[in-house]
Amino acid sequence: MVETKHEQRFLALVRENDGRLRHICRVYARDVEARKDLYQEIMFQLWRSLPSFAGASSIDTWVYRVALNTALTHARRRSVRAETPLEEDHVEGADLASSDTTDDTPDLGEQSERLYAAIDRLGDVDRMLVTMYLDDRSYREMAEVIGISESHVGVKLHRIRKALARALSEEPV
Amino acid sequence: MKPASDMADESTTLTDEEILALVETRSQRFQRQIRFRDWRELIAGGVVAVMIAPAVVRGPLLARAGALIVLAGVALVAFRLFAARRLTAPGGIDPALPVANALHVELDRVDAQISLLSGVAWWYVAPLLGGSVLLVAGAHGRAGWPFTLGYTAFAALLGWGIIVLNQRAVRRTLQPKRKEIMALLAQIES
Repeated sequence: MVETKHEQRFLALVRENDGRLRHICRVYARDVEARKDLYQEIMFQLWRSLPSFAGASSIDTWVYRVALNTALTHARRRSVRAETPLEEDHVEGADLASSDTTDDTPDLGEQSERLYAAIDRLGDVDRMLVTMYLDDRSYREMAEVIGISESHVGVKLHRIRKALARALSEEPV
Repeated sequence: MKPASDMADESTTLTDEEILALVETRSQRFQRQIRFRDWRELIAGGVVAVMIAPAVVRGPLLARAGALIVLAGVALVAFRLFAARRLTAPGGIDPALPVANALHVELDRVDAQISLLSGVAWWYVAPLLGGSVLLVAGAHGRAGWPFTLGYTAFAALLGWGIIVLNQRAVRRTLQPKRKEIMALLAQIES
């Protein structure tokens, strides 16, 4: 199959960011159908927007913006973030820790499961920050993705860390 | 090759061909939606204009005035929908914007839609149905008043229905959407 330059560029982008995109799908969509739908929508938005990427930001920042904007819109459209039982949150949160692309639940300790369950209960914006934080993004990149100042990112992450510490110090339900 | 709908399974690593097929399927659907919407509006406006236009140049004065109002109404509706489409087109918001900016743009879009639907009485119902009542009254003259009265009652009922449906769409869909966007912006800004 002969691929155009745009196709080659797009495929390389998808390959490099596949794990990242799947994590975002898992964080913002509850069930498998919703994840599949979100994954396809993000791919489409990347495909459609790639020609207009001018390099004003890094490609990683750009991918995060497209993916998170799409995820937020998708989540609102499907209302996939309805209240969920804690058990479901555990499974989903545990998936987030895995960087592979399989559905095998990693053998995480109870603490990790509780950590990720707590993350999954955060608000949409806080989950964005945690997702990027776990991906070793800098404060500057997070600020560029969300559209706030770096100091604001710092304040938010501080609050998130405290909230997570509080959640972890509580007795498991 | 697998159908595009099965491709994004979490346990599957997609091949290059599958990824391209997936985005191609979405692109085609996207283009079809836009084409269908354009043609639908163009045909509807054209049909009404062709049917009404002859009445502007012949018949009683009242009927001609009514036909002219309906034609002007069609033009106004086309203009309002075109303007709204620029804001609400499927690809209207650049997904590469920072999240906060994208939410502000979306909020503007929702506000514009609320404004559009809230004002449906004056830009849609009044010119189209009001003009058509004048057209019917002029065409039937004094002798046809029972028909005119019946049509007026029908037009009033139809207009009321259109207004109520639009208000319900604002209340049930757009206001909750606006609330969600505001909540997200509050999360970002807090």
